[in-house]
Amino acid sequence: MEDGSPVLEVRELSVGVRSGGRLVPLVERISFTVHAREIVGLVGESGCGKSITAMALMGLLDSSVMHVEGSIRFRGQELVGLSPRHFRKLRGRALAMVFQDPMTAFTPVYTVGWQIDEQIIVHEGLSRRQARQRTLGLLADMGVPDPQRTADSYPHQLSGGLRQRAMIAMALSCRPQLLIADEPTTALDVTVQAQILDLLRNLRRDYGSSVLMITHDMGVVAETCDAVAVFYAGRVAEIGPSQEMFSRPAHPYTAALLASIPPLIGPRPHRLPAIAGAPPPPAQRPVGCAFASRCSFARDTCAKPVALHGMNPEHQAACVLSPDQLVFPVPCDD
Amino acid sequence: MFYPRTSLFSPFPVMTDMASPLPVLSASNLIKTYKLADGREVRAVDDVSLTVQAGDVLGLVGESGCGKSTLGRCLLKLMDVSSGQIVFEGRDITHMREATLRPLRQRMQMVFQDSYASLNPRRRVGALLAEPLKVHRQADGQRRSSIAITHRLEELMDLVALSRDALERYPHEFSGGQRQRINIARALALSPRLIVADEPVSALDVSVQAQIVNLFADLREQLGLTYLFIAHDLAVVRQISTRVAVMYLGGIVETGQTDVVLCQPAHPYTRALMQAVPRPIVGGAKPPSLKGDIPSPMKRQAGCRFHTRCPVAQPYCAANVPVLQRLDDGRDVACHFPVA
Ligand SMILES: Nc1ncnc2c1ncn2[C@@H]1O[C@H](COP(=O)(O)OP(=O)(O)OP(=O)(O)O)[C@@H](O)[C@H]1O
Ligand SMILES: Nc1ncnc2c1ncn2[C@@H]1O[C@H](COP(=O)(O)OP(=O)(O)O)[C@@H](O)[C@H]1O
Ligand code: SF4
Ligand code: SF4
Ligand SMILES: [Mg+2]
Ligand SMILES: [Mg+2]
Repeated sequence: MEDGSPVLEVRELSVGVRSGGRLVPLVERISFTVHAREIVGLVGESGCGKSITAMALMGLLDSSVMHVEGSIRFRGQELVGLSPRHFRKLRGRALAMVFQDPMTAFTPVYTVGWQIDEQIIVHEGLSRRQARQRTLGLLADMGVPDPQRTADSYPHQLSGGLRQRAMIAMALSCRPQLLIADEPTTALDVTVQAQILDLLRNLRRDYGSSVLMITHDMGVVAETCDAVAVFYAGRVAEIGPSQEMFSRPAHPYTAALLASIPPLIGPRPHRLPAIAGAPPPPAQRPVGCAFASRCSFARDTCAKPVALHGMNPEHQAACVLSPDQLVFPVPCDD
Repeated sequence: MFYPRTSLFSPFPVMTDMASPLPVLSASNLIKTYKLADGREVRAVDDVSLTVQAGDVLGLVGESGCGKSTLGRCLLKLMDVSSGQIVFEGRDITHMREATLRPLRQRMQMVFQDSYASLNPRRRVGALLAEPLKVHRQADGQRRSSIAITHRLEELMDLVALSRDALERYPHEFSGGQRQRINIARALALSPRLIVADEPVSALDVSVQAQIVNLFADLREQLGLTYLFIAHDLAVVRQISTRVAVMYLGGIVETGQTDVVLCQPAHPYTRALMQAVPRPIVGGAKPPSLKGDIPSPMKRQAGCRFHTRCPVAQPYCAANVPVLQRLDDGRDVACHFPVA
């Protein structure tokens, strides 16, 4: 896809779960776009719907309890309503995913190398020997120090960092156009996380892949993503280019989230500017702005549904206030 | 970037030895070895010495498996050390009998990461918090009356900023942050002097994490508490701690006042850790400064425990063990070539 058309276009995607004769919305009318070789972040607190979104994109939701609406266009092809058979063809080839816990991607009874070989054999029809060559090359690309030994190891014999690299190697084995990474570094130590983030940043150059980076960590977003969608309670609160979002957040939630991160350098505030309360659970989300119960700017008009609207077409926020009305407290005051 | 070497930035008063001659807790040359089923041994804590002064918050940082939790548990006598000495409020508790230790136990409490696992789901919050108050007698040897207990429970709810009707509810009715408040209330029930908090905010979302970090800071000021605060998140540790100790493979590699150690690391490992933290600033990404993973603690390293990953290691480091040495700024660092 080098013609400039997006790799992934998500429009008004909603996912609801059937529960007691009711449809509880988990994700509501979210839209975002991933272009070729772009890294796009979905960021938000736990339970805000990031993983549900990823599962919808991968066709991994159980359709007997989950209801998906809206449109997901992957390289022009509509994925909403796609049959499980067609989804299986896409997964592991054009569309791949890595998880927080690599143990879920590997079976414990085969060596890591054998499992990656298998993936290559199934999708590319290579011989075992050719596949193994490819596997070793991939592992080396992922910065695995001793690819031969790693390939011959069982998943439980590898450290967390090596397992994560092996999983990314497997996901990349068929050169996917889009890699969905759901909290890929959350379980890793910072020094290893830094290595994996570096690896992900280089995928677009080395593999031509786009990445959808799902994380709760604003630091990870800032250091990897070109664009980002901030989720709050199943909805997109703000979306835009990372650079702009971090320097001029346009939604009170984004700003408050950034402010609540303790600084690593410079003066320490006496108290952190925390956000009071917690996000509403799916069944208790209001029709109006879901952040209202915690927002210091909240007013009567916030009780009505708030649509995303923009500073510009690229950078949009779902807040009744215009950017110049948002005067945020300085993050590090006393 | 330059930051002054003294703790000018610290929002908290730094206690000096003069202000408090008797440390709340001190440990010397602690070693803890786990014996595995196959007969092999892991030295999880390897010759650690530390001192926690009254009112201090000692932040213990380091990567997974470096021995933080093991050290925390040993210090509170939740497990036995293999060798070394632990002194709590002036008394050697290393080999103290449980019966003698009991009254001291009230004064040292632990708060864990997983706020749900440590709360019995079938008991109301009030009953959970009353438990330690019923088990332990007061200082005068008397049991607490039920009125005294009710009164204390309400006090505890106020301290952790939960409404008093929370006492009537069950743990599952609370969010993660609220459950952590309940855990903190339980640790506070017997008015401890020292709290060892093991990753108390790691399972929480950032916005809630900030609330709990603030709560720890408020309680310290209000009640004059002393903390050993274990966490892998350097920004959180920097926010709460007056002093920090950085661990690697069972040993402390650098320790001193928070801003001295974290803003101007002298040990290559501390430096690498600080550099690796992803910050919410676009364009701040740096190439990783360390290669590879932490070596298995099963194999004991010869020489410096960090030499296999150290970006500035010299041949000398592979054969010679660096011991903690005091620098002019008061920090201790275990490195043959500390960054000046
Ligand atoms: N019960 C045990 N039996 C054997 N080995 C253990 C046991 N508990 C811990 N260890 C080992 O001791 C070392 C230190 O573990 P510890 O849990 O203290 O680390 P930690 O710094 O708290 O790590 P984390 O950040 O992951 O919590 C590790 O190598 C660990 O595998
Ligand atoms: N299988 C399921 N059935 C019902 N609700 C679910 C299911 N999976 C997730 N949820 C709910 O959907 C919401 C979003 O979950 P998720 O996408 O996993 O959040 P996160 O952003 O942390 O990845 C949460 O409130 C969660 O409890
Ligand atoms: S819409 Fe209202 S409540 Fe929501 S973020 Fe904006 S000001 Fe706050
Ligand atoms: S002693 Fe040598 S190997 Fe160890 S931290 Fe210092 S420079 Fe690195
Ligand atoms: Mg998730
Ligand atoms: Mg631990």
